Amino acid sequence: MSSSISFDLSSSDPGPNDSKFGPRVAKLLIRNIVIDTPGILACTSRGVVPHLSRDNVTRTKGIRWIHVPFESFLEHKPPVPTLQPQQGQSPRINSFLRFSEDEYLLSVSLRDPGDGREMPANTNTFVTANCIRGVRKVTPNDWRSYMIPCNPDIVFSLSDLPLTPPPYSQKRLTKSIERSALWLADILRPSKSISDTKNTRSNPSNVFVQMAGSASAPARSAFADSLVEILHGQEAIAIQPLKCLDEGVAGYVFDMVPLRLALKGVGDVSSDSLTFKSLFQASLSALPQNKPRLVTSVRGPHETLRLIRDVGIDLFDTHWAQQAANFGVALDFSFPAPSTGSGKRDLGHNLYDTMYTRDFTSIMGTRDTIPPTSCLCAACSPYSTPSSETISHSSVDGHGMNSDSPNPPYTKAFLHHLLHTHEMSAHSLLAMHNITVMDAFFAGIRDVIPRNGTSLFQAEIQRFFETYTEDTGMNDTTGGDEPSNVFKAGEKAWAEVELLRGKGRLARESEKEKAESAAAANQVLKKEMEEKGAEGGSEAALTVALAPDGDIVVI
Amino acid sequence: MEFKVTHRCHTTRARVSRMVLAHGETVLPTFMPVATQAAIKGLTPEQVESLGITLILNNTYHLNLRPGVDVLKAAGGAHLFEGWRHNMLTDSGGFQLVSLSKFTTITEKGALFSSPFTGESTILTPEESISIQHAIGADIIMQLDDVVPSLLQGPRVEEAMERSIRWLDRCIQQHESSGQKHTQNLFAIVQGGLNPSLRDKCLDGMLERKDRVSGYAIGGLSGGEEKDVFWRIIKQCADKLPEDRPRYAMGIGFAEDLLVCVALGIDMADCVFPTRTARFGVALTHTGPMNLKLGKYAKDFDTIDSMCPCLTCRDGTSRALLHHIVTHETAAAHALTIHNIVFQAQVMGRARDAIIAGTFPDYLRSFFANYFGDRGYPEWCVAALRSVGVDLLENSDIPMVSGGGAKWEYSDAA
Repeated sequence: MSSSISFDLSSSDPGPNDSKFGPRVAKLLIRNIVIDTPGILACTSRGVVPHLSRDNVTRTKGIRWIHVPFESFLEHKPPVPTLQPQQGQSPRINSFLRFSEDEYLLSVSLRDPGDGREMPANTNTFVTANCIRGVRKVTPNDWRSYMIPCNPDIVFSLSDLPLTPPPYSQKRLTKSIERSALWLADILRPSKSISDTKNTRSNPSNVFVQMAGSASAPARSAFADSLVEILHGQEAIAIQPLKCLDEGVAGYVFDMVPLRLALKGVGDVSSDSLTFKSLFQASLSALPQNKPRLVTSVRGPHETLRLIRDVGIDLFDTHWAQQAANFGVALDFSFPAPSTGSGKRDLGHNLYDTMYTRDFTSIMGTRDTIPPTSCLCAACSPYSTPSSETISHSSVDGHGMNSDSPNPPYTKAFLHHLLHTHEMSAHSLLAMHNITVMDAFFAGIRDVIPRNGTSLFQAEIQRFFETYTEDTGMNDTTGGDEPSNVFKAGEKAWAEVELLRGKGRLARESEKEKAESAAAANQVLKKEMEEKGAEGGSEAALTVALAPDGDIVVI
Repeated sequence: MEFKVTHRCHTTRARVSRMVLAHGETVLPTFMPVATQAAIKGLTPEQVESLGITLILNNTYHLNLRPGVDVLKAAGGAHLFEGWRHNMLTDSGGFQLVSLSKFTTITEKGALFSSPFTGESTILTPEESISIQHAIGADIIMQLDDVVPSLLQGPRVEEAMERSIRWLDRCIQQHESSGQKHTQNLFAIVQGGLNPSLRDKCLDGMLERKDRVSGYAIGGLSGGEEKDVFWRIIKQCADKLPEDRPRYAMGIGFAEDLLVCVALGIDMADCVFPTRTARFGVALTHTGPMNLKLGKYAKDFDTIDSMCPCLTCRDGTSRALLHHIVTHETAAAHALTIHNIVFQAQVMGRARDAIIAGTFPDYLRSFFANYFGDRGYPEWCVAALRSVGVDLLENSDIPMVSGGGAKWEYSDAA
């Protein structure tokens, strides 16, 4: 049963500065699922939302659209989800991953758009993809044969986005554009094989295309042109009844990871907002406005706001927020920014920081205020399982079981403890919280955009930028506007705890503490020596070592 | 504590009882999942609550290290700190001193060990253990005992047993003088190794203190001893322990062990096994453990157990999906932890229902037939259940096999 997407921009009030690229509000509808845009999609790893058991996915209301990179399933041939027994009208991929088709919209791409690791080059006939047993070659025909039975709501067509070391030559870009268009044509091609009678449809109904052209504006517009160009001859016959590729495209995807890599290659390490603006606009100028625009791996709310403002992007994955949860960072921001504020704030809390050891406030609460907790996540607003839904194990269970009043919010101190003891529950609570914060952030955006012909939106963006320090996140080698702070610190602390875990952890921690106290002592000594102007005070002479009994000695 | 035996099995020593503590009621016999460091690994307290669990265990040794007593006191106790509103039991920290610390020396005063953080020598006295447990605030607290490895023999075992009785007195003293007596309940731990006469001596000593303790645990087992010795010690202790006190077998978690213990008169048990094995990809079922890492589950679209009421099975999560994510994604550990906790609770819940209905011997027979039908009943299970009047071999064509009998699905890959 194919369910086509409808994307309704009518609720977007075209302001005076109505342009192709202005901020916009819309409703994306598939079956009975409505996605309000600008909005979010959640990322998965191996088909699951990281750290969330199924009940916690359900509990996180911001999760409506789930994106599934398919490559992890390539370790079996044919991939196991294609073998899932059909359950009613449910798409196989929903049945396999247990995301009910009544609740969730699923999109599937071959590669993980957040994975920027170097990959062997694609060729004219296949794309290389990663699975746990190594690199797999996937041909356009393979991709069709996987996606037709899986039948996700949205399929990303194969695109040739280079992940080899940049820079990319003119020839490479040309190939990238040609292959991406060719592979798009392939997935749009109505199937002729007899096996189609078994399926209710012969090709995936909603195809999103990942915009090729890398960091070159001319290449990007050339790719867009190839989408709207009316095809002739064999090419036209292949995609009949479509007249051009774009007729078969339901949405446009912009992938930040390969783009940042490409920008590095052309020496544009600033990746500033103007660069993205001009590149994305180059992709979109020739294309119709009435299709959703999706960005993968955006780095935080600042970049998000700029892309909505400058390019009219509709959808963003929550890669950044989920990554933050991995590294112990609890997001704490809202849009519009709160009016009370002194000085710039961080976008979140690195809960590894020992300043939270005794902080018994909720994630978004402060010591001064009774938790205003408007955050509806399971960490800030714990739910209470009604006694009727609690599993009963015998006829005498359940006397005086649950009080139906909810628990108070989880505290920063508790999350801090869970992080330092390497408890998985920390990341579950943080993932639910961070996705919920992103959901509320976008609800705020949707609320502001239609008002006052977007001038209010412009003003609120400005105020947001003045309120919050931009923190672009992890592995930030290409640089954001300012160095990452909370996120970097979170990642570092996470890596330290990760390194220490396992058998003998306590001993390793004590080693680390000794080393740190030695380093601190070293600093003190060095300073003293400098102050005294000690002669010949070379570094070597100042090395501090630990005696076996733990005392600090100077050698 | 309010403790009342409500039903007894007409054949075995099994019983159903109601235990009301400061954080509500728990019906026994029950299995207690372990939240070592203030969380059942991967789950939120609300999730644990939704699984029908009303009593969990926290480890004193770990909580004392992190977050530390000061933080717990500031938070108002472990219940508030971790958001758990049902009953909680803490151990004394004695077991971890033996299992985790290489340099523990036991003196009469207490256990001398080097702090894993600072390397400083620290002493954990019975008084100190109790006061840490007071700060944690668990509903049931355990005496500090002198733990020796289960397989140890010789005079040290007797010394440890005698000392455990003396330390019990100091724990009682500390507990009674603290003013916590009405909200927290102190359990004694019977020691004495694998030696029946030492166990007897310990039981005698500890029964003399019955009026000052709320319940009894059986310690020093589950450390690699012969199963045939294990059940005899459990039986010896359970037979002698008073009717009006809960009986807790420490460190017991395999389904067959649990049911044998229940039949012998045990009310409570705890073990990290079900939650730990979940993290390694093993689901517990009524026909034995299922190692989802095995290739044979890669294309198996059934749920773990279609009759299981856990969220993972009810949701329809297939073995194939679990196979794809176990040991790669924490969400797989969560899914299996949820399942295994519910499995343990189901095994015990069905035992309660059967005891009440007067069909516990039938329940034992059908459980063991399901569980061991494919390979035979372990000899020790047959002997243990015979000792309380249930003969698994009666009217059964399932053979008896020697050995411990613990089931496991081994890897099929090189």
